[in-house]
Amino acid sequence: MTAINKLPDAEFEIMKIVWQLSPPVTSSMLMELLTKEGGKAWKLQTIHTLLGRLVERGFLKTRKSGKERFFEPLIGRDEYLQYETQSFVKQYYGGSRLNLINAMYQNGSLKDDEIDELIQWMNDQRKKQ
Amino acid sequence: MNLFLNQLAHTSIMMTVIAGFYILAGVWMRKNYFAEDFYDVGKIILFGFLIPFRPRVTVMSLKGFSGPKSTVNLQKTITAMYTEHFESDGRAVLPTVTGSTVNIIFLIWLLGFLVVLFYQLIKYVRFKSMLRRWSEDFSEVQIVKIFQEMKKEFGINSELRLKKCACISGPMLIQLSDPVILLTDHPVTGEDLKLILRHEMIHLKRKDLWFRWALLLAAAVNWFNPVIYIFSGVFNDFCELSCDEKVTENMSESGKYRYSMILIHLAGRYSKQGTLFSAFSRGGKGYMKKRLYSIMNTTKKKFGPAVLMICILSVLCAGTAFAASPNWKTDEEIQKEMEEAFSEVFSNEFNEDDFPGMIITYDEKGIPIVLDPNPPAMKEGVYATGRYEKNGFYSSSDCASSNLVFYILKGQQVEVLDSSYTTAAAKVKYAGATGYMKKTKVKF
Repeated sequence: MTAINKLPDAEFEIMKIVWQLSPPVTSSMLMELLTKEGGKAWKLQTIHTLLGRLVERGFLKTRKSGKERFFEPLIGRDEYLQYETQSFVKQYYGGSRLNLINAMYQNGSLKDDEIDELIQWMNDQRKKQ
Repeated sequence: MNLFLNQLAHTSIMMTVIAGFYILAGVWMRKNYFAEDFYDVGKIILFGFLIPFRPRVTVMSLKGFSGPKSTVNLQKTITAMYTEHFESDGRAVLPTVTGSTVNIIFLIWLLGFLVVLFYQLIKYVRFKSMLRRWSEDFSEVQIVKIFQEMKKEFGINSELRLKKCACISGPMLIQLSDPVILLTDHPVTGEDLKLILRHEMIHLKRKDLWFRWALLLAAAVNWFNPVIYIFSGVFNDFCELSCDEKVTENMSESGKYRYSMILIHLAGRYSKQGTLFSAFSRGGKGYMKKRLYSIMNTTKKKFGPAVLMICILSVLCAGTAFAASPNWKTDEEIQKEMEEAFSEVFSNEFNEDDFPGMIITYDEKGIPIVLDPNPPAMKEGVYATGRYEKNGFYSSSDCASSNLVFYILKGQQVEVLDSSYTTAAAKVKYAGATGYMKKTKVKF
């Protein structure tokens, strides 16, 4: 598995579009969607440069077919999302003393059995009232 | 600086007591009273922590107020517990530590304050950056329509925006200026969407984000006090609980049930692995039960106005007892006074006629030893006793051997007229004579 590192903003913008499109994608497909969604004008050269960097980082693989170069993602959107959120949580909520104020921010997602338990408890409370 | 640190420490200690009552009351009485009232009381305590200064009040003597001398009686009693320094006219001051010690303590506090504050700021900036990355506008017309309708209903201006964000597991309101409500990217429509938006819009109308930031600042100011962190959690709990109360206040039971189900599913089923929690809410089964019970409970009572008044008065008074008396001096003034007092030089000659009623003997070197067989009753002031077999009494504050006048025996009581942490000697009175003794030779 490719080691994931945090993407700079510009490269992330490219990957967001790549994830939206069905692979394989070309730079012109990206250009069209980027301009439409982002609202700002992207230069083709910039997109090529960023795509090259993403290939080096291991986020994309590339192949040439005829005159066109195609790109496919190696790391999925959900996989990268998980990486970013987990590294944020690890860095800022990982038990450092400075996280004492994180009493405000504790993660408390519920498991399925806990949800069922809560629903049952709610129904019991309703019956009591 | 000395004044600031004293005030901060005293106020923080007193606020700890008040916050302690609040936390315990929250545990024991939360089922019986409205969370909104707890939240309002919490805001008062928050400001008590945030602003360590209080109005200056002259402390009244336990015997009654009878003038400047007796107004410091109470303060002197308290400072006598840990001070050995009193002015000759009975005015009491807190111990004057050396300037370098005060500076060091202040720098430690300042460092802690800056570290805590900047750490939280950096964390927030990174958090916001991540939210912005993963956020996008809603394209669904129905959602945008409901959002606009609710904005009108709440009288909220057009600055509030709505976005969906892939990296969060629950809705949240962010940004003080240019606020944004973030929803998860899981589809929510109709009545469920309205309830969620109502919750976040109530947070906005109540300016709850401002209180969260005030809480962070208060925690930075009182970073050395562990109770502020416990108080933070409890305060934020009541923020959410009171918001739930507001959302459901005119709802039928089935409406409240529906809202409760939304909360349960937001905390569980729709929360994906690899997403961030809702930034401003705690989670877990126990916490959810608290929320659900609070929503469904119809037997809650309101605090009377007396409770709020007591809280306001307590917070105002916290630290006031230790507010500087009108006679408070700066370190430089105290230092100057000490120098003047200690510049006085007395006679170096010993004359037995000057000590009527005293028992005078001489040691092997011919130095007089004075013993008071009938020491006078202790009156207001500070007293010390001789520490060793023979303790020198000097005519000058340098306590040079050439200025030795006589010896005082071990256990003999001397009245301390002047002393300070910056001086090696104490100005004392014994057997009617005024002079100096080395502080190492007396026990306070």
